[in-house]
Amino acid sequence: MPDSLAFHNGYITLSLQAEDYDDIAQKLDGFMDRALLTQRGPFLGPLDESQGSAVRALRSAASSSRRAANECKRRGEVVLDFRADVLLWERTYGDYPTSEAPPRPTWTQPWSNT
Amino acid sequence: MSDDTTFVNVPDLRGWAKTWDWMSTHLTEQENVHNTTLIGLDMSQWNAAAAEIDKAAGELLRSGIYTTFVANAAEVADGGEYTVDHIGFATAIFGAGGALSAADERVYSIAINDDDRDLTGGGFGAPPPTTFDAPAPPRSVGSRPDAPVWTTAPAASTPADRAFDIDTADAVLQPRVPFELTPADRVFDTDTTDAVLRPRVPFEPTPADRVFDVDTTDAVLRPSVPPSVTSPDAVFEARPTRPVYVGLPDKTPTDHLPPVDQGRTFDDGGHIVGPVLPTLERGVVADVPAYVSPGDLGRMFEVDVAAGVVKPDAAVPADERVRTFDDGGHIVGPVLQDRPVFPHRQVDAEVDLEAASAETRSAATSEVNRLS
Repeated sequence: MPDSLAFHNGYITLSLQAEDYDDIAQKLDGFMDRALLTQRGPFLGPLDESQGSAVRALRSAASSSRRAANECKRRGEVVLDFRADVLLWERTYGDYPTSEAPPRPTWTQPWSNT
Repeated sequence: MSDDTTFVNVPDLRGWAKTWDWMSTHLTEQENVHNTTLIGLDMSQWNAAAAEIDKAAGELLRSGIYTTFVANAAEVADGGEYTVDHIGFATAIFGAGGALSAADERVYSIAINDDDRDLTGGGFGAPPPTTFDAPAPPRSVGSRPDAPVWTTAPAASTPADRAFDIDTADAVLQPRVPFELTPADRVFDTDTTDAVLRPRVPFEPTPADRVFDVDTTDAVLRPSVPPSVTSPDAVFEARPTRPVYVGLPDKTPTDHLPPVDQGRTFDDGGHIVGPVLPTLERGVVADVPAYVSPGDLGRMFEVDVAAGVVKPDAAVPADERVRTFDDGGHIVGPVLQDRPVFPHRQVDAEVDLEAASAETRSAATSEVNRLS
């Protein structure tokens, strides 16, 4: 079961990857600017097309990675809150008869915590 | 063949091709890290980025292949103006739009990074492939050789503007530029609580307790003290000090008492009566802190008159090392009466009470009782 720390680590990994993709995309823009300044010829057209496609793909990848990272962060917080609720319930009502204790906190998320 | 004239800088094209090939390999590795991370978190459905990463990696390799074709053709033409069959290259490499097989990637990556290339046969030593429209098999990891890094090494910098990379995963800072005269692998402990960095290895020739300010915004460390100032205590060391004895007149060890303090008077509570002293005509005592509490009796201080700072001797607890006095000679800040008083200080105060006048004895007794 992924715990909150695992989700947090996933958030960091994916966030750093997103930054990496943006960084590479920015470098590619620089490469193409340089190419247009120092080279000449029709061969630059297909190259520009290829580089532009790579940049767009990288920007999109960065955006998708950030969305996944944010989801990791959100799930980590949800898991942490749930475990805190369970721990509080156990410490408060652990010795109570079932009939006298309030319902134990239940997992309500559509994704598994086990 | 096209008759378009093309001017190219062959070294530039080859360098870019290697860089893009390296980036392509790097992205393929990152795609695997991405997928592994999500699988470990049961979040495989969030892998939308994987396809985009793979697309970018493939496109970068294509760019590298294409520019290598162009560069090879330019070399074959032996420099100067020449014609390039760019349409044929573009059709072969970009026209179909399919992904390269892992085998193709291997072939082209080696060619891109081959400095002893065979230029016969159209550039790569063989005609451009015609299999680009084949279904794309999974990209292989590590199938291409390492390429050189695409960034140049930064120039050496001075310590004051030295920048550091922060590895947030294990909270270790490593300098981007090796230290001059110090180990290149120096690492720092990060105290995230108060954002203070201390070197694990003492600086030479500066002291080990040098403190750095952390600018978390741009991850740059700058020493809070200029290199020429080697100690946080330099502010005291650089100023003149002179010893002052604070104590009861009848208990004063005269052999340690500076001449300027001979004959000073104290009230029943052990306080120096002042700041006007009988020995004022001797000169310099008027600006000496004149108020001390019983807790300070019998202690030797060094007084920085200009700064109004008193620095007790080393035996004094660290939290009492520096005390500040106002213009009237009163201690500013923590009041000693609020702190635990050592037994020998209480004895001094009691001895003083024996000689005190009846008028002040009651108040002094109350003070001693409170301290007890």
